[in-house]
This record gives sequence, C-alpha cells and structure tokens, in this order.
Amino acid sequence: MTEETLVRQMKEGDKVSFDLLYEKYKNMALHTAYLITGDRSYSEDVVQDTFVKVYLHCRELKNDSGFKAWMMQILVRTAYKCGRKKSRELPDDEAVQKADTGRSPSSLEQVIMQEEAQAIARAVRTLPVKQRSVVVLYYYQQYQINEIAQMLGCLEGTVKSRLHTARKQLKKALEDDFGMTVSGVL
Amino acid sequence: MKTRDSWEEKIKDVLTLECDGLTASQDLKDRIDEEILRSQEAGHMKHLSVKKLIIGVAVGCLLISGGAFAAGKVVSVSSHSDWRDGCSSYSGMEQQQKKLGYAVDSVEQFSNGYQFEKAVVGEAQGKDQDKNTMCTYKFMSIVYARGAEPTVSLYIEKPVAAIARTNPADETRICGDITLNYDSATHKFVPPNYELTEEDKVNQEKDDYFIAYGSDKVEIQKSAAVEWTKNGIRYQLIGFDLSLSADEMFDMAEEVMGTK
Repeated sequence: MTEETLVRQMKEGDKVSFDLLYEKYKNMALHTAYLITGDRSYSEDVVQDTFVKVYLHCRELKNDSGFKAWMMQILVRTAYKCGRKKSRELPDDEAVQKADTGRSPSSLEQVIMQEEAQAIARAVRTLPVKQRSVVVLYYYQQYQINEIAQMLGCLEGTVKSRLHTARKQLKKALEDDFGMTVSGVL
Repeated sequence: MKTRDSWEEKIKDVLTLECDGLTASQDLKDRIDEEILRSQEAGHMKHLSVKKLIIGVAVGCLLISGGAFAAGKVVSVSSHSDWRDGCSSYSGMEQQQKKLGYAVDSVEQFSNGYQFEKAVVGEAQGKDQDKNTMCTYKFMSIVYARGAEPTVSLYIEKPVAAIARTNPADETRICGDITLNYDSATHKFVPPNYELTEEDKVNQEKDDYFIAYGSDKVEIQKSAAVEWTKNGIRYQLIGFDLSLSADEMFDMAEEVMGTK
C-alpha cells in the first residue's frame, strides 16, 4: 500500500493507517527532534505532540503525497519551540557518556577520529536552536534550502544566513575549543 | 558551486552516531494514542451542539455529545475502521452488510454522476464521563467520487441512543414520514502557532464554526451534511467544499432512500 493511500485512509478516520505511518516515521522523527532539542525526554514529547497533531489535523493536509514534508513541518516547529524553552546545551556527563557508549578505540587513528566526532557533535549542540535546527535539517536530513524555509516558515535567505552563521560558529568552536585544523573559506 | 569542507562532510555521520540506539518506545506510542483520545474529548467536552455533533460524527472518528444523548450516560463515541477490510467494488457491499449485521440503503451511482468508490465497516464505542465503555456498535462508511471533485461520504449506523435535536437544521425536506436535515459548517484551518482574533473567538462559539490547528496556512472550508433516520438506522451524507446545493444533496439522500 502506498503512503498516499495510507494518508487518504487516515484522513477518512482509519486509525490503522495512522499507526502504519507512525511506524514508518517514528524513529526518523525522534532522531530529528533529539538533535534539535538535545534532550531525549524532550524529543519524545516533541514526537508525541507532532503525531497527535498529525492525527487530529490530518484532514487539513491538502496534498496527500506531501505528508512527510507536512509532518516534518509540524515536528520542526514543535521541536523549535521546545528547544527555545530548554537549556541549549546538554550536560557534559551525558555527552561524555554518549561518546563512550559501546566504543572502545583500538588504535590511535580511531581515538583521533572519535575525538573529532565528539568535537563536531559538541559544537553542533552548543549552537543556538535556530542555527542548530537548520544544521540538522540541512546536513542530517539533507533537505534543500527552500524545503527548510518552508518548514520553518521563513525566507530562504534567512535559512542561508542561519546556515552561514552556524558554519562560522562551528568552525570557530572546532578551532578554538578542540584545536582542530579547519580548512576552507566560509 | 562551493564544495563542502571536510569537517562539514562528517556532520551527517556524527549526527547519525549521536542518534545511535535511540528508538521510539512502545510507551511513546501508548502516550500518543492516549493523548489523541484525550485531546479529542477535551476539545469537544466544553460544549458541542447537536449540529456540531451530527457533522462531527461523519467527518471525525470521535464525537462528544455534551449530554445530547437521550440516555444521558454515553457522553462520547470513538470509532475506528480499516479500509483493508473494506471493498472497492459495489459487488462487495453484500459482504460488508453481512459484517454490519443488517441491510442498508445505498446506491452504486447517483444520477448526478457520483459513483461508488469503496465501503468499509468499522466499530464504535460509546463511553461515559469516566471513559468507561458503555456500548459497542458497528457502522458503515461508503465513499462516492465524481472525477477530481471532493468525495461524498455516506455514514450508516444504528445509534444505541437517540440524539435529540435541540436546534433547527439549516434546511429540511419532508419525505413521507422521514425528515431530512441539512446542516452546513465553516472550518477554519490555521497554523499551529496561530493566535485567535477577536472575530475567531466570537465565531468559535457558533454552532456551525470550527477552528482547527495544524495547517501551514489559514484556509477556510465548508462542510455540508444531510442526515436522516429510517427504520432505526441513521444515515449521514457529507462532504467538504462540495459544489452541491442543499437541494442536490436532498435529492441524493432520496436516491439512497429509494424514493427518487
């Protein structure tokens, strides 16, 4: 059964279709919410609010084939609000715990790569929520600038500006705080 | 076009790693289902007129009577159906009626061109104030389509308790000993962060005005519904932004009843 069919049936009150759509997108939604809010508990709340809105307001979706973009728009805006409310940085112990989980470096190269990954992850987490949201959508979800602008309800120029500022801040954070050599013109 | 720097190329991998092991739990799904039910009830419990109730039963999967049920105990009805158990050709209606447990009036095609598209039997539960299930009953939903126009749905059920209409319908047509009631309503769809205007607040108190959040832009749609009861079975013919007049919908209802 196609996604479009599921959406149409959900709009007609079919809860099973909603359940199937939820199953398809639940982890992707949770990951995006987590990366924007930086908090597991908050990210579950965001996913909950998002899918409740999806079910209650699904009849307002005009183009059934645009379900994913519509759902992401609700998710990002909900996460955005949530992210603004909470502290913008995870406690260091959680970051360290996450970096250590299940990974035991066996060579110097792995250690360096892991430190570099941690540095990038931490730099992303310390970005203001506006810039972090754009970074997550652009780099992680691989959305285009115009798609992100639509999700966030702002101009494409605003997205470009936030992305530019985020790149600059990331580069500075990586150079200053972690001693990474960052090349390229921003 | 500017190429990405090496550290930029790593961002996706790093963020993917950040989410490693993070999966949506069953508890989260349970919370979502509970919140859906609670939100639907809370949104309607304040006050819902019979007109809103009648429109709501057809377009939604849950309705709240606010005391409109004569029995006085059932205050909400939730329902579900699975189109995979339905039929997409009119020949399957016999099987659907067996599932429903009784024969219903229906047509394969209306004279105005609307044609049978699919039908399904679902189940509804009536609940009291404390969300205890007071009754369970089946209903049938039939969808009719005409080209690319909005679909018209026919909802059929044997109500476990009569709904007492306390306010008049927009229009009525008498057909023998059966009264057909036509109701229309305005649905204003707004973005999640939309703030109600003073006009919205006034409109919201009206029987025929709904404000629904979650749209990406402000949009207004009109619903139209005709409902009637025949041989203890309630029928509701309903659609959004239809190009049909009240008279045309009355005519369709009569075609279902077999009197036209």
